[in-house]
Amino acid sequence: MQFQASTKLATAHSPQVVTVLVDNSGSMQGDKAKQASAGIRDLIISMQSGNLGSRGCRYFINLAKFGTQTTALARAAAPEEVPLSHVQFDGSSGSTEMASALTWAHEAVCASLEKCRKQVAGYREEHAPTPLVVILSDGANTGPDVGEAAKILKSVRIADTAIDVVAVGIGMEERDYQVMQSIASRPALAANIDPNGLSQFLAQVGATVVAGKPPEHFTAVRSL
Amino acid sequence: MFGMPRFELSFDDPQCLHALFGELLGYVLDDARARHQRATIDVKQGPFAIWCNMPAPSDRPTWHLLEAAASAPSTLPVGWPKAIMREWPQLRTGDFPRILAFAIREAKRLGVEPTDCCRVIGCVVQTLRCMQEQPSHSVCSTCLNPRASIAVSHASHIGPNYAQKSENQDATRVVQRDSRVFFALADGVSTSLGSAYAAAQLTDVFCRRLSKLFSASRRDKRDLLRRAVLAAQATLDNDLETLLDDPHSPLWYEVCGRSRMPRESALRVLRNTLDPVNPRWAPQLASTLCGGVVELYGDKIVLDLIRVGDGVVESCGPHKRDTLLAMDANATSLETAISPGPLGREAVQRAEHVHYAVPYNTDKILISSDGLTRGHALTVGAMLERVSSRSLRSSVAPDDETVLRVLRRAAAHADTEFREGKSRDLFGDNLSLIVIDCNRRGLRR
Repeated sequence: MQFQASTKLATAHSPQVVTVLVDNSGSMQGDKAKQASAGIRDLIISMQSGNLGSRGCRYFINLAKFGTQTTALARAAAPEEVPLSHVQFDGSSGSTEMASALTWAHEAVCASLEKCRKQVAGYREEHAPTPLVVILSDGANTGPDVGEAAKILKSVRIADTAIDVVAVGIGMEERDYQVMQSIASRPALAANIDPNGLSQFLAQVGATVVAGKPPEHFTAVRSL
Repeated sequence: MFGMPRFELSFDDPQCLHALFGELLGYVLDDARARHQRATIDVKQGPFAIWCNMPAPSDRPTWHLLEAAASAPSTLPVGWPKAIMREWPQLRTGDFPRILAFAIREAKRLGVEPTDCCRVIGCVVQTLRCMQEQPSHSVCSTCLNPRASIAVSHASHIGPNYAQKSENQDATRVVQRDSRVFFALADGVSTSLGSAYAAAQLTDVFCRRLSKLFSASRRDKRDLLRRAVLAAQATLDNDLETLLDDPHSPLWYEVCGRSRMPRESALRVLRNTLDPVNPRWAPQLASTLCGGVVELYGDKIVLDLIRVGDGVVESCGPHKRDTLLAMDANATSLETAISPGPLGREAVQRAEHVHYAVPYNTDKILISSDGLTRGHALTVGAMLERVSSRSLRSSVAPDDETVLRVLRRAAAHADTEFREGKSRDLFGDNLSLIVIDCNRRGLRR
């Protein structure tokens, strides 16, 4: 499938904010957690490469793992500031509270955009690529309904454009997957992927971001 | 350099001067990085040279004169060189007073005299200029072959300020041997670790190897060009091996340049260059290369050139311009580049060749990096004429300083266009240009 490249490339004047939420609940233990760890580290390295040659940051990253609680690993950070050794998922965070993770994502995206507006020299929001939020989960939401939190997250605007929220099920049951469809900011941005292809999927996310392509590029390719 | 006074620190200078140089350069670089700005000191080095070398000691800088300017920048400094005083209204609102105050404080702490403090400021100004305008030691040099009357001039520039480039990842090199001139222009891949180093290495090795091959062999030129590229690529293979074998190799500092990529990540992507397990990571130490040889054959100037990746070659005659080797100015990703490892070796196989012969005394040939093609639809030659008051086409044997001036003017023009919202990508990259002048009036055979 072919998608047009975005006309908005991340630059030092118009950086892109990328937010990733990784389910670290008990069901992720084992191979899925290992793949998530490797895949997110590779994604960060891709973004670090994307920053090479530039005085400023072309990307800012928010990263959290969630379970019963949400734990921030990076907030409005340059990819170079994220210690790869801290990017470790092991499925030890209990249940799957998606609403609080989405609330954290909302705050982190807002903080990142605020950082861009205040600290990026010559910031041009209208030229910045759409902020991207990716939430990855393999199980049912065990917390409160995500509707309100998802709505607030999707209400964030950048130069009058809504942000992209991608919701990815990792081999989810059909009945559980519906919540991911309600989180995604448009139907094409919900995907249910083969658990064995998780690290490949994350690598594709990194390559897509750095190439300035729209998120449909990875959701369509990897959907089950 | 560039006709400007040189400042040099030598081994004979006391340690305190070297320490002050390091402190001041580090201060300016860190300060610029924190503010995502280009590291510069907004003064010219010339007046400092004159001031430091005034015959009468009473006319040289004193702490009183320096401190007065640093502590009260709103007042016109007294006793300073006139060239600096004229610029003071602009200087006082920039970074200079703050940098001067830092220099004075550190100089006093280290026991450096005021005259030497000024000399160190001049050294730092000069160093910053070199870092942005040419990464290698061959800052610029004109290769003029008096017998054949071919002049090749070259220069490289970090590019417009708005493009926020942290370093000049382009490199140009020219070597003259006998009646031939060998040249190369390399454009380091922006998102590739060590690309500035790779560009400098490729141009250097390519030119030197090609000149040796030409003096030793009469084989066909395409083959010689390809062998020179392979030799240049092989040096990157060796460099990659050194980096991966020895984590303490000084080469790490050269390769990483001004990159902020953590060492752990750097190792991962370099290993992937040698063994591409993750196909989505492009090779590191990657650069394009466009180089060749110019010779005089009878009444013709003959150009043989090889290109791996992008780069533009144009001829500019008195009445027409031709693009000999074009590229897609809108492309933001590069399909082919020379790098170490298997992908880099494959790239060499996809090299393109140009053979071009022009009547003697008719043309200029321009070879440029992709930065000069960005953000406009004209040929490089036409666009440079539009932005530069001095025409490359009409000037007789432009020297390196002329070429560099054209690039500076192009960068300044692009910044103005950006500031005024007229263009957001004009010349938005490092800028490099080689001018082969086949039209030296008065030097005909």
